[in-house]
Amino acid sequence: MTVNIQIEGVPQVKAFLSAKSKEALNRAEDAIKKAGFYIQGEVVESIAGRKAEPRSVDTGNFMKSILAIFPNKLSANIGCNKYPVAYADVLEYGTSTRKPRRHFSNTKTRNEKKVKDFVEAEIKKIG
Amino acid sequence: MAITSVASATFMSDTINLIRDKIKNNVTDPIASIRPGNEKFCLTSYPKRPCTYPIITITDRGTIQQGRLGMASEGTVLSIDIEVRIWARNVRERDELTQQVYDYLRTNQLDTTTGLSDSNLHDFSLMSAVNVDEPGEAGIRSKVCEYRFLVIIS
Repeated sequence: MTVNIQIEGVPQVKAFLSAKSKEALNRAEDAIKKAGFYIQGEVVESIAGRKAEPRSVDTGNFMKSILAIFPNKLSANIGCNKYPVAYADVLEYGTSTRKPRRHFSNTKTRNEKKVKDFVEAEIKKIG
Repeated sequence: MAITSVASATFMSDTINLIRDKIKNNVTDPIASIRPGNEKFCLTSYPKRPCTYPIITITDRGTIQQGRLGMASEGTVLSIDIEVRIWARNVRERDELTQQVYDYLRTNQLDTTTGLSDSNLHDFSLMSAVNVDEPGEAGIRSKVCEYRFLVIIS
């Protein structure tokens, strides 16, 4: 006796999963973009003195130099264009004679959960 | 009193003091024989008065609750970021001390009596190491290392 098992709908399931995974990737990419620009804004607000850190605005060059760069689909780098603002490290970390201001690291700690929320909210939109 | 483990009620101070003690006892002070008696090699804040370099500062850089231990549990998992900053007289001294600290922390995680995991500091990770050098020949060379640990609070 021979038992013949035939699973129907395999190509359709494969196509469905493939479409969903592409959608998930697109959603994650959107979330990373949103989170990147959000963190950029938060760092600028921190420099402007709207957060717990000391205000670091004199000429406005530092505040204007904050950039969000997206090296690939699923990562974002928030940093400072160091060409006009070579003193960014000193402001962030302090020296033996200056107190650190921690605009970047405090923003990171404050918003680590928020970044996860951005990704979670986008992924939940997948139908 | 020496801290041997991170307790739930005092997790912040315990973590800082434990790491300070571990570094103090296991990293060699290059000027131990000539350091003034009223100065320390390992500190838990940036020095406010003139001091003799090199020094190592261990400070808290923020805490994030990663999750709860269960739906009906009051226990949590926290990630604690610790900054270990090496302040040295030259680049070589800065890098050698950084290597010693990293090597000690990396190789003393899983020991059953003195390991960091046994002291409730799990999942050791070096998040970043950034150089901040002050200008001039006599400028202080420093390296800001950020370490992350997971702590179970129950």
